Amino acid sequence: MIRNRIWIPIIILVASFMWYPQLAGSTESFITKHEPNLIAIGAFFNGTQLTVSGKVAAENEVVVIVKGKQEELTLKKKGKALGLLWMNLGSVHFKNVPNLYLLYSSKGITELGASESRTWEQLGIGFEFLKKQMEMEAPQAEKNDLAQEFLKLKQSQKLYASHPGEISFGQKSGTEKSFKAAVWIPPQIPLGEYQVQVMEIHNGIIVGNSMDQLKVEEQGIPSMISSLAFNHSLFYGFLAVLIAVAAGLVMDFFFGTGKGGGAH
Amino acid sequence: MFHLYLPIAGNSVNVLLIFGLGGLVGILSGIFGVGGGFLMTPLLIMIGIPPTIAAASDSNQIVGASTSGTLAHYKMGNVDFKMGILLLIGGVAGGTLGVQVIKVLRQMGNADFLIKITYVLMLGFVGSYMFIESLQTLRKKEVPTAIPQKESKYAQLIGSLPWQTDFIKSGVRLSVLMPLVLGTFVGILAAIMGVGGGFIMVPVMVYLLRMPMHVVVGTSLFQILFTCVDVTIMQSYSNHTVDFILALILLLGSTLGAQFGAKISRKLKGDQLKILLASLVLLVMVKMLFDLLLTPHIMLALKGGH
Repeated sequence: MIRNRIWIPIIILVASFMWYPQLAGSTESFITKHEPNLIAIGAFFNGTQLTVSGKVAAENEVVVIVKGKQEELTLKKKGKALGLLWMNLGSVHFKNVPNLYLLYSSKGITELGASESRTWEQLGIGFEFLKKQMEMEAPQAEKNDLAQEFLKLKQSQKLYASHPGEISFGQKSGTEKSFKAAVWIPPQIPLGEYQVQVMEIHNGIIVGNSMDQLKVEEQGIPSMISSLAFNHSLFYGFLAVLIAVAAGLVMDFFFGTGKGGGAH
Repeated sequence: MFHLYLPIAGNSVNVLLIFGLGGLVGILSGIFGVGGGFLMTPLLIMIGIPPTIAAASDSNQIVGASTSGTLAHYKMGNVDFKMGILLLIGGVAGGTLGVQVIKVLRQMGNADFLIKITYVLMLGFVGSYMFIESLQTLRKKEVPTAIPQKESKYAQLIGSLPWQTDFIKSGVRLSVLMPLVLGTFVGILAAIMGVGGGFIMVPVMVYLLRMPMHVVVGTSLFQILFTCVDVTIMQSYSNHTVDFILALILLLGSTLGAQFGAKISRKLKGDQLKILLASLVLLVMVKMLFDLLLTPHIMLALKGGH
């Protein structure tokens, strides 16, 4: 509770920077915050919840996007050999794809997106937009299918997700209402910095846009092991072998048949 | 609850699941003298471990399991160190050669196709041969009249090779060249196929080196131990793909499993062991065939793995 109070001046400060007066119909009431600002990955990390909340004008809708940096990725492509056997046939290089893309939207904007499929794309939101943005070296005819498969793979890895209608609104108070999104951060999240973007949407137009940073870093045992593995890799390899051999010896000592007892 | 975060794999796993998986593979390894990578790597990929990390961490785990298994088999007098060391020397040479061969094959294109087909065919052939042969011997035992075997062409050939020496534990007399050459052969194949080689090594020891099945299991484990020590250190050093937390949970299960596996192995007759291993090999072949025939759920995949 005390922490929340400490945040209030910071939020007001951040919100004042985030306010874009040039956007048509922007409401002064648009304030957002997310908690926590830093995700620390410790030994028992199993994913966590990021709460994004704030206030928007009473008639508006909200979209929350947690997005990672754009990256390049080479993947194996499966195809049919001899028209019968499925296997990896070559690879595809993808460019300009975010390493994480979690999309949450309120119900109204979801319905808008469903009725006018181009709206989301025009707003630069959603998987269709990602498809348009990504580049790959492949024949034109295959591009759409490959982009679709790429989205499928990322979703199966839990790194891309779309949660339409999963932003809830609180009671209206005057001209504004509060919103809340419980963003699930999967344990697969790569370390690094992320953008938490909140958009206030009025009649298919973005009227409020806030961007904030989210940091993900390792702490404690995972951080120690990573640093050992990457900075002292040869030592790490020997240590891994030694501990494995020791475990084998210990198990044999406790559970093995004594020498001679089992000999032929 | 019961979840641990794997810093290198970048994912969290259920400790009990991984421990159980390790135990299961450890039992198989203690019974049959195989590393179990064929089973472990795909299962780890299925629960969300990146393929390269699954394969490398598995080899770290096998170090533990094969230490435990080798010790258990050693106490039963089932490890032929002389044979194991010779096979190992051949294996290392073969592995190095195999890595070069695969580079050439990849440049020629369509290498993955050739490799997969060869592997499936080989598993099918080896599995069927072992299955039929051990079934026949099991049946023959019911009829006490043993037919004296004639010296085959193969026996004459290997008898004529130079540098013959006794392998006491295995109870065979062979040329030093035999394990060296066959070790190299298995090493090349293992490097090309990207697998540990247990499935190829065990039948080679049984049929081409004519070692008794129980000694084959122990000696195979002894050999796998060294191969996996090498792989673990190399992978840690050059690719940073060994997740120690993952390997540790796995090996706590597998070192225990290997002890039980070795005990089970002792209770079984050589031919019973052979027929069980043959069934396992055939099962793996059928699974691979299915993977090749069924339309994949996603047409893209991460690099690495088997």
